[in-house]
Amino acid sequence: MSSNSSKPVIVFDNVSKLYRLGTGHDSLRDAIPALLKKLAGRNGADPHHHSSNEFWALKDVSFQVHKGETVGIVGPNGAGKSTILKMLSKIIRPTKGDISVSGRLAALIELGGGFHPDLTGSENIYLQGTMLGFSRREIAKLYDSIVAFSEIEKFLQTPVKRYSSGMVVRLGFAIAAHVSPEVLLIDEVLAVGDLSFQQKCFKRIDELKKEGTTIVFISHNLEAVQKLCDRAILLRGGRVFDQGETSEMVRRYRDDIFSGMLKQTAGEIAHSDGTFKINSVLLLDADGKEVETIETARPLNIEISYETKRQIRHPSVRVSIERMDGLVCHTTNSRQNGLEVGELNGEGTVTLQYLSVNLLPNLYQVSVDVYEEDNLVPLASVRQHRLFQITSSFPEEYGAVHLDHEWSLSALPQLSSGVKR
Amino acid sequence: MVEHLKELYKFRDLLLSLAIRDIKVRYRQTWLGIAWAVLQPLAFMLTFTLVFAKFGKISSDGIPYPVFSYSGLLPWTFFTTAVSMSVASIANHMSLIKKMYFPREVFPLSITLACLVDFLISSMLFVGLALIFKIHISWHWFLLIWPIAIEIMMVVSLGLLLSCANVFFRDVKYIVPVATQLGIFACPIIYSVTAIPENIRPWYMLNPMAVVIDAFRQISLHNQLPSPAYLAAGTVIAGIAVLVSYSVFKRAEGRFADVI
Repeated sequence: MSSNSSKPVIVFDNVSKLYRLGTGHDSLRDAIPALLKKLAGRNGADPHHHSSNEFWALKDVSFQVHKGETVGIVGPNGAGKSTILKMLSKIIRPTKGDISVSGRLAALIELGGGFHPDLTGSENIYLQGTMLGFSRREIAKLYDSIVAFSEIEKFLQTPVKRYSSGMVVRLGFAIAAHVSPEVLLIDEVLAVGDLSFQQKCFKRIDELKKEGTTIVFISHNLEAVQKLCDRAILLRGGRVFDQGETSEMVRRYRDDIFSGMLKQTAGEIAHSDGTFKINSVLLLDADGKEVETIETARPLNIEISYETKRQIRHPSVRVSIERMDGLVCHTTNSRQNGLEVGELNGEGTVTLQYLSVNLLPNLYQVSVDVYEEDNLVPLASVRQHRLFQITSSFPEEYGAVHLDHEWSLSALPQLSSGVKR
Repeated sequence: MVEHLKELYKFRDLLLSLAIRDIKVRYRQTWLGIAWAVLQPLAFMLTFTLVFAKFGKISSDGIPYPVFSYSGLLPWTFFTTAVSMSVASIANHMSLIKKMYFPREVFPLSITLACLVDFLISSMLFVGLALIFKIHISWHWFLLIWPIAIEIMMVVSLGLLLSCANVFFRDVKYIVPVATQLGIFACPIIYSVTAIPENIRPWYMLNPMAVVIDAFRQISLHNQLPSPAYLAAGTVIAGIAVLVSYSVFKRAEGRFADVI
């Protein structure tokens, strides 16, 4: 990890950024009256005139990044993450405070953003490279590896405007990752491109880390942040809320947004006709108490109460648990599980028991569908109902699920300590 | 200032690529291609010859009027095209400016470079005209470097200043064409400097472009050295203009991404 004795590569010292909303003057016709007003206003007008239009995108933000560190910046939208990256790359300047960045910097802020649509891929490699401050000769040396990485050999002589968005991103990443930057800024770019290319990008980032590149990483993909970053900075409302160990920051960030989301109302219950009704879907713990937060690997009961005005033949119930980002974690169907019910009348409850929910911390939602016979259209369904949160008793694990595990080591007996095999 | 120049030097290849891109893109889809660089001053020359020499009987100090007016139009065309193309150069690249950092002056500067190529091409026509009208081409012509240097400084300084102003006030884009059209009368292009009364001539020559065009004509057509006092004054004024505009530009640069 980092040695804090070394001189920091990035220093953010009490940086603030003020935006004035709606006071920009694009033409002199607006600007001259505004200027006159300002001059007239000097003689005792209200000094608070602007304050309502002012917006501090960042307020007194301070942090340091040392050589070779990978630091993640997490926080909700509008917390100031991108503003920090844009300041690091000198695109915008702070209203107050000082920023210093030493070493050659490359930013993956909007991949392919600097491409000229009328020029070919090959011409754009040179143009983009020179925009990063390299000479044409330096780029010529890297040209082959850039092309190989981007996998677009066939389209090098095609104007970039004919490229697919995936090709643009691939070429953009290939250039930025091959100019051997000393400081690399990455902003939510790995969400694009197919899986195999994402893998390749992560691999390349790992290589850069090993070469001692200092990396600042911004993403809503908390798993990626945990995977890549040594340390994280949690932003909230333009201020540094906390900084420290990555998994701790990610946990705090999750708690933060989840507590807000849990308060949102549950999903609607939809019915195909008025004859069958799902009255409620309850999440209960082992003691039958309603919960909205459970711990990993603890039991969970889902109780669905129904009411029917007619006889339902061969009913089946399907329950699925989905993670907030849409990943379906688990789906089960009562009939396929052997709960064979001939007919259903009146009122009642169906309970699904999970003995141990081995999901790791995140927000989840439950969906329920009730079917009659082999009908594909459900009688009633509850989509994305009941948000619930899982907290962990396994803080050292991250990923999607908790798997019971054990480590062991069986070292071969050493013949003699000095002999190498 | 030195810091800025160092950084600009680091990005010299970008400057070059942009200039090349500019020339390529500008002429790629035109039928006459690079010939357009020559056609504009040529068309003006023919019109001026017809209107001012044939009908208006304007004195051209004994030089055939076509070559006389072309000697003024040549530096003037470089000046107006470079300045008017620079004006929108920053505002036109707003998406790029929001995404990447590099010294923003590369935009107006690359346009100056590209226009300099046009200038060299249309200079060849000037040499042709000089031969046709039996103008004596002597070693004096090397001195043309001096007025050209003053002119480049003026183009750079106005390009920086106006492209920057245009980011904040889009009016600038509309003012510039009007100003360049009027400028053609404020410089000795159609007429000779000798037409300006002696007593106001020093004031007239405070305009560096008047100095440039007069010097250009004196050296190339009359084979004589223009007044060093005027040249020196022009150099000083243009030099100060470059320094001032560059520092104004660099100060405003940080706000481009906020405003655009």
